[in-house]
Amino acid sequence: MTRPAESVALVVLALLVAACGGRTSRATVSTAAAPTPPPATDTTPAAEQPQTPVAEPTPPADPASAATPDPALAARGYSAGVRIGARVVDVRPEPAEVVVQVGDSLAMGEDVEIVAYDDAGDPVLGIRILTTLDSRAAVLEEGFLRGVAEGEAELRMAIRAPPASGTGPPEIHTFSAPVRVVGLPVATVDIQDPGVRFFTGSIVQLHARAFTADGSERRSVEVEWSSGSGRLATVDSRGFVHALFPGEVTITARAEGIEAAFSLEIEENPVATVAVSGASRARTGDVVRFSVVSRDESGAEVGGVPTDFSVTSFAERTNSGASVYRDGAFVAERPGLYRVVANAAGRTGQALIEVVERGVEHDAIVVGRGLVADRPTSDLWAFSGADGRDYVYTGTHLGGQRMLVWDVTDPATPVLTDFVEVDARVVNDVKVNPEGTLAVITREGARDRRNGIIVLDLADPAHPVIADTYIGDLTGGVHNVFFAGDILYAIHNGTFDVHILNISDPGRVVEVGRWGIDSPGKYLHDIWVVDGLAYVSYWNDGVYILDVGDGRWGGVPAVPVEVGHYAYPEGNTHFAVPYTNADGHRYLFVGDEIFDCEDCVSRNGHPGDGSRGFVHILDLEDPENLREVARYEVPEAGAHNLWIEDDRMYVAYYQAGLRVVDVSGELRGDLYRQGREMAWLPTGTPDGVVPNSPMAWGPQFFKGNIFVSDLNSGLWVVRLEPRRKVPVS
Amino acid sequence: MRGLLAFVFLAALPAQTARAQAPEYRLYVANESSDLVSRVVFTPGEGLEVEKEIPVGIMPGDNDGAHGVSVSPDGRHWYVTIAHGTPRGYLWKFHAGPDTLVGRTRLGLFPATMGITPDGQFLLAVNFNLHGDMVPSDVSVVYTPEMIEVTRVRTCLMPHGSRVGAAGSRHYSACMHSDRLVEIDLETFEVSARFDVTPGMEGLERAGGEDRAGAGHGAMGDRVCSPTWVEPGAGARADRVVYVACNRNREILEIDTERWEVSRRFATGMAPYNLEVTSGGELLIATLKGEQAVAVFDLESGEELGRIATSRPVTHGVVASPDGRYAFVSNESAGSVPGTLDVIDLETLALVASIELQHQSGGIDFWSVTPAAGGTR
Repeated sequence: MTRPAESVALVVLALLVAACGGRTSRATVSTAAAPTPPPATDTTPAAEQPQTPVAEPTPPADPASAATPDPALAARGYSAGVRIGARVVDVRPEPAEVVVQVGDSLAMGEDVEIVAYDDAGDPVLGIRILTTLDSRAAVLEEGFLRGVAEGEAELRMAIRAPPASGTGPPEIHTFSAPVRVVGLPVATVDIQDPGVRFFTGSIVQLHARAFTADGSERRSVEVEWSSGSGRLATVDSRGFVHALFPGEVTITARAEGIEAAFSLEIEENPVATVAVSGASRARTGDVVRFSVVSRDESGAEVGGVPTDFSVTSFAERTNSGASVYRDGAFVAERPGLYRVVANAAGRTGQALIEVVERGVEHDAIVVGRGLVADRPTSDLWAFSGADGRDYVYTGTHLGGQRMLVWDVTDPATPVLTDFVEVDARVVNDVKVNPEGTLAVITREGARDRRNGIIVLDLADPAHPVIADTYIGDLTGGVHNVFFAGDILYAIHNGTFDVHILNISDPGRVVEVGRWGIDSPGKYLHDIWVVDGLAYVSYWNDGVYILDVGDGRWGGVPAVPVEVGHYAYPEGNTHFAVPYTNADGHRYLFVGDEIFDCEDCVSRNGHPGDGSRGFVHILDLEDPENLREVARYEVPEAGAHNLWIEDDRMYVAYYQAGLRVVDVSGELRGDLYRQGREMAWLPTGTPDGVVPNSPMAWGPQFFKGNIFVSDLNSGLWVVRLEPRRKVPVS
Repeated sequence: MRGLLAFVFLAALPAQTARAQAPEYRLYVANESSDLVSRVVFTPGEGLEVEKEIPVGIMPGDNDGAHGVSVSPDGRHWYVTIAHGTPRGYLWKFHAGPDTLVGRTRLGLFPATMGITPDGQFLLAVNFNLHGDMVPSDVSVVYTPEMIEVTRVRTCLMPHGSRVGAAGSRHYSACMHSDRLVEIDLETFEVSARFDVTPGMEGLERAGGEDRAGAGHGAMGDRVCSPTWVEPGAGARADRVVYVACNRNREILEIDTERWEVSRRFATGMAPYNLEVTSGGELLIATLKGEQAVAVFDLESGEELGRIATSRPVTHGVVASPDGRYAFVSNESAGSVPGTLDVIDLETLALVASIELQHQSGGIDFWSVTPAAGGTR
């Protein structure tokens, strides 16, 4: 409230603000390079201005009362914009709920206006409001709020005000408002046929998918379910249909006013007996498929019965160590006796299964070592050279500058034959072509900040020579590369795109294509190419599969075509490699690399030591529809690079050293907990760059040995031997 | 202890300095390719010593890139920009002395140099976006008590160099790839002036010039300034002029920010990169990145007083002691050869001490001098 004695001064100040071209009714919005720079004060016509007092005049400064929290007093001596901030108790957008559609933009100051309010709820005038937004769902730039992906964001608003103490520099007061980014409108809704019959007493979940007009799926849209006859069947908010009485009923799914109907016939439940069959004995980690046959009173088999499973353990001292999935796949983490129960339309059957230890433990024997103690070691590549000898090339990190050349023909005694020194501080990746005639090493941290790649001629693999230094557009540094015939795919730190290079003439590398996603904040890390499909690790955007010559999707090496994509909540997708095991199961193994998380505990004080992340295992049978089926997660460490061969996965698991995992057969659940881990080797050493600190970087199985590079200790050569049980005396 | 007391170079040190009377000058230097910040002490007569190496960054498998270092005006905190990120970089804030982490906030692409308002409340970091697409970038404004980015000001292509004028009312940054000096009004946090530094075309940009600013070098002909740094004048020239390093044109421009015109030019050696003006405004010091040297100019006469070779190539950052006696210069070096910190006596214009730091020593700022009135600067 304004006291009468202040009214004259108020008028004076209002005139002053107006004389300065001031706005008087609306707060202003600051965004980066707004289309029209916001004036310091409002320009709304006087007739439209609300009758709200402008900034209160303040008496001259009185040091004796400087500590008072009274805003009017505290505002003395500050600029007008700051003084006004003393009266602001809230800042919020109009409209209160900021909703923007994917692909659309809202003009700040027009579509969305940010307004400051005093404690009476009246707008406060002429104050500068700063705004920022840090989100992957929306971006705020050039004066527009643009929707990028469905999700939530937070609009942060800030004003300057005198400090509560009344002295010192102004404070920033911050406010926030949610922003909701919605997808394009739903155009169609589809209820998937569950492929079962509905019997009285059964509970079956229906799934609805909503699509936009352009055919993209709206994954986060809210779906409302309803039953055409609650007497015959009910349906809950999750789509579970509970069949009550025989008859025909229509279930409706509704999303944003668009409906889909699913008609079903409820039958009298004929199931009288349920027989469950499957293996009665298995090892931990084995996926056992249980099948169910339901029969009626006459003994006739009943088809299409909705069935689900559960499992219980007979163990008394531990929790159940097994899972059984909806498709009847059972897998145990612990040995023991388990009861698998099948529920078929309300009738049950059961089977017992005894699980024993997997028994794949091996000993990891150190065959040889190539200690690198003067600089950190990065990636490696093992190959047979043109001279008939075996080699491993290793990169170096953080001031490394070199690629080291190891002759490992005798794996017990790796011999450093040479090194290639380049203008770089990080030689992160080393790749050799399948013929063993060319190598490419990556450069980061060049003296002139123009990085690129180095092509090496391996005519003498013990002493490779530089065939070409290619920079092109790769100035920002290259983190990883991969050969595919005459094509080299390079991961560029600047554009975060895949740069496609023709390397058929090693002395004259040419960029022939480029591929990248359009995502704000995209970050690209690695690529792996097998049989015409490229697997691109795009950090928080997940893994992308590209046709780069497979041809089924129309891709060619220089013009990739996107085949499939999968992102998971953990993000930080770092590495992806496909593998088909001896039983014909086809998987994509995807590693994430997580630092800076709450559980990332460092042992030696360096925050980088606290790595986390695991190997996600995706079913790759249909590359267009990837789904995560299993994982390998060492709880206390973070996954890095991996190699898979002969049904064994070798993972350089940073501070957890080298891990070797049995990936034979079907994979479900957490392989780490299932006893599939065959061996592990801590790759720390007292004489390393960081003593006794394993930081395993990359593994490769080559001619019966596992070659592992470690950031802190260099090159290790490891062999697996079956663990010999030592009799207890 | 690697790197500590790596080597000490004491050429031309005054022999008569006594430890009891000698002041101790302390600085922070960022080593971009080691993800370490070095705290270094210089004692005249004794030389340099690395007191501490503070790890920064979070990813051992990727170089996080500690680029810029700035100490708060009250000397209680220091800040380092982490340039590389995934993909956006960060600003980290530390207690000076204990060197413990206070807070972090995410900025834009390749945050580099910082400027801090005299009251320490606002830190403005340029998002250099060195290797990204050539699109206009911005300056992040961070409220330091809470370490929150409160706004971004869109400026130009590849902003670099970030300094706040003595009065705290104006911020200046240079645009390497659009040949501009940009002034930001720190009351409104809006661009208040754009000055074209293209050789032969110097002048305040007219309306509509923003498009031209975003056009990049290709639109501007062969002669370019490619400004890498802006340094406000001090002393009598405080809040009147700024100095801009034209990296490609081998000169430093003195720009009168009241009249918005080039008032003087200083010819330099190859690739002037970072600048420093002594606190009284007497001397202008420029690192010559392409010449492995430092040039010192008398701002009264405009003459170059000397050109001093530095200990390692890729001479990067420079800061002067508050008493104006010494200049501290970081040298990146190259490859696996560590960077160095050099000390130049501004009276004798001689290199008086040098010490090896870690890889790619770049960002540098002065922390304290003791004993001195108030303990620290």
